[in-house]
Amino acid sequence: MRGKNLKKQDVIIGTILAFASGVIFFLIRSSELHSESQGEVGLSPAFFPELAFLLIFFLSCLMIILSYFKSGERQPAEAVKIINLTQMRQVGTIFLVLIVYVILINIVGYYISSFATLLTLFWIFRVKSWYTILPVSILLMVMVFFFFEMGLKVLLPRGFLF
Amino acid sequence: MIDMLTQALSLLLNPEIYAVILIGSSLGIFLGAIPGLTGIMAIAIIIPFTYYMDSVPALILLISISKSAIYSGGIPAILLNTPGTPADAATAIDGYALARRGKALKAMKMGLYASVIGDTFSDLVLILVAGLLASVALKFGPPEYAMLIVFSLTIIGAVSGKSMVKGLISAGAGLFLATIGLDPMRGTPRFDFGVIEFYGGISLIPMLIGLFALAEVLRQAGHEIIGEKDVRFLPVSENRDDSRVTKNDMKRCLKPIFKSSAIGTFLGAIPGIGPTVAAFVSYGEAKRTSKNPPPFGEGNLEGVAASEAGNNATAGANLIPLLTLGVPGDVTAAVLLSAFMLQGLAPGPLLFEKHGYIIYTFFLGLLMCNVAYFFLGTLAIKLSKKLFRVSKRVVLPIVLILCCVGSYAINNSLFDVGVMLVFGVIGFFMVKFGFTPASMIIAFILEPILERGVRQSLIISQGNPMIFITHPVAIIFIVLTIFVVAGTIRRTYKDKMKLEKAKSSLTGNE
Repeated sequence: MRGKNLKKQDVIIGTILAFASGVIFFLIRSSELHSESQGEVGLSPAFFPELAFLLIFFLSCLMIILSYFKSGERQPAEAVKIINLTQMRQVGTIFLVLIVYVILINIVGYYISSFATLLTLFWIFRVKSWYTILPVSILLMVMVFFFFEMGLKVLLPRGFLF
Repeated sequence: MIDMLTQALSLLLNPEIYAVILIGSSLGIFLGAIPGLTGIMAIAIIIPFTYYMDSVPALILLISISKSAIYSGGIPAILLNTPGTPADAATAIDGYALARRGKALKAMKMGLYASVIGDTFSDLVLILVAGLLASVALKFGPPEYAMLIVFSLTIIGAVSGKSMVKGLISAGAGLFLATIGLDPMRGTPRFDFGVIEFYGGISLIPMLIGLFALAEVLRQAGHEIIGEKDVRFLPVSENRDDSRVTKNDMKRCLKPIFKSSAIGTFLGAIPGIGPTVAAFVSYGEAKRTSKNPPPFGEGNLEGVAASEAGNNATAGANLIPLLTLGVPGDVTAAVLLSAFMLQGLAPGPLLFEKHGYIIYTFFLGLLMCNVAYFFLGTLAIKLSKKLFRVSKRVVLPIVLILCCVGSYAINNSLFDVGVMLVFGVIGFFMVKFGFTPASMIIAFILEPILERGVRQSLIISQGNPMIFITHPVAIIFIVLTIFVVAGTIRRTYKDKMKLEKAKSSLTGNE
């Protein structure tokens, strides 16, 4: 069962990669990038991108072929990378928080958005003690201020407050 | 030379020298340990202050920051799977695996010893044979660079983990990502999609932080640690030997350390190559010749030793083309060049004639910096022990915020933070499906040098590819490449045969 899942996963990924790289290769081939420097010595700007996608295409096909030979083998538990919905939910939540954080930085400023994000992340990670959350968050903001702004002269974004 | 050395020794009685070494090394260790910040940033900020200082203390201050920052980038690589500099991505491969097995202290201590040995080795080469090595380094033209990079790409086999095919696919992706931006020869925008921030290409450090640090935090967050009562940041082994470098550890790591020091010194002396290539080539070579379990990538101490020695060995070697010929080998050397000019010292062939005693004092100062960061590094390792007891749930949010500010600090751009987030997700799924972020990073770093070398060579030869086999140094690298690839294929085949034999004897017993 584990071997079957691994084979299916490799076939799906290999197919997606082969298709995408093939399409992109032909798109580059027919673009202006490829036609530049035709007739001149040296390589066109498209050569290395084309090489990269050609490589990905052939290797993806190889991956699909090899996955059929792997199907009979017993795979160790760690090798079976089945999508775990709980895990994806955790990861998705944190990623969403970070996106909101980056958007808020320009609106409310680095310090307020970072402080709020830290509180949110501590809540997601189930850190419940305010004796930990508040001092750590405030101390981190102070350290970032002194180290980055005062020490390294990296001006962090300001919002409508500060 | 003896007179100059004697004069240099007397200048070392100046207490200011010791103060700058201490300050510079402390600053370097602190900065290098924060992902996104590099020694170069600190040097660039400190340079104006050195105008008011004497030449020797000024130069030693700057070089001590650089050396210790190169070393301390290995600390977050081992503890957080977050390379402090791109070169430390090689250290992270085995260093973090060791940390997860409760051997973080062993890994950090070995990293420190390997760094000091590698650094001292390259400093001695700088002092004794700088001129000779510089003349060899300057023989490198575009064909030699191109073939050196082709040889360096064989490292991908070493870091690809269980699936070579997936490692090569990751490398292919890295090759493509490096082409985003302006074409190096014609200035044509490539794959910019109308986004002006892409004109300069994808920034390496946000990409690195995303692929390694953010991906790792997402991976850990996705696990069931949130359901557990109290999870320490890193496991601590009960075995005392897991917290120190034993005699046996040192014995088996000495050979890779010295080999990597030689590799790092040679590669560091070539302008434009840099510590990242040196670290990965050293790692690949150590893996290729190692006979000791566990497998590389799963916590082999030799992997940490080789990458750190190779990485740090470039510190002194980078100065070889700078001091002997006035040619800066990389960004750090270029910044140091400006420091030299500020002090009224013009690097080049006449530097040793006109300011010999200053240069020899500088050389002795280089060796003293290694001693300083050895002791400060030991202190930093002792302090980092306190981090192990902290709950993972407190550390991970802090790491996330620091990743964002570290990515922002490179170019003062939120776009880089966005790049970091995107690569964090990419890195998360890459590891999940068995692909190798390290292969992607290696190809990303090497592609610009390879492309420039190949295209310049073909322009020089009027499109004739035979140029690559008419240059002796290029031929040497081609032969080395064939040798390494053949060796990898042979070893893979042999391992497969061994596995089949073991399986069939197991089936026979059943």
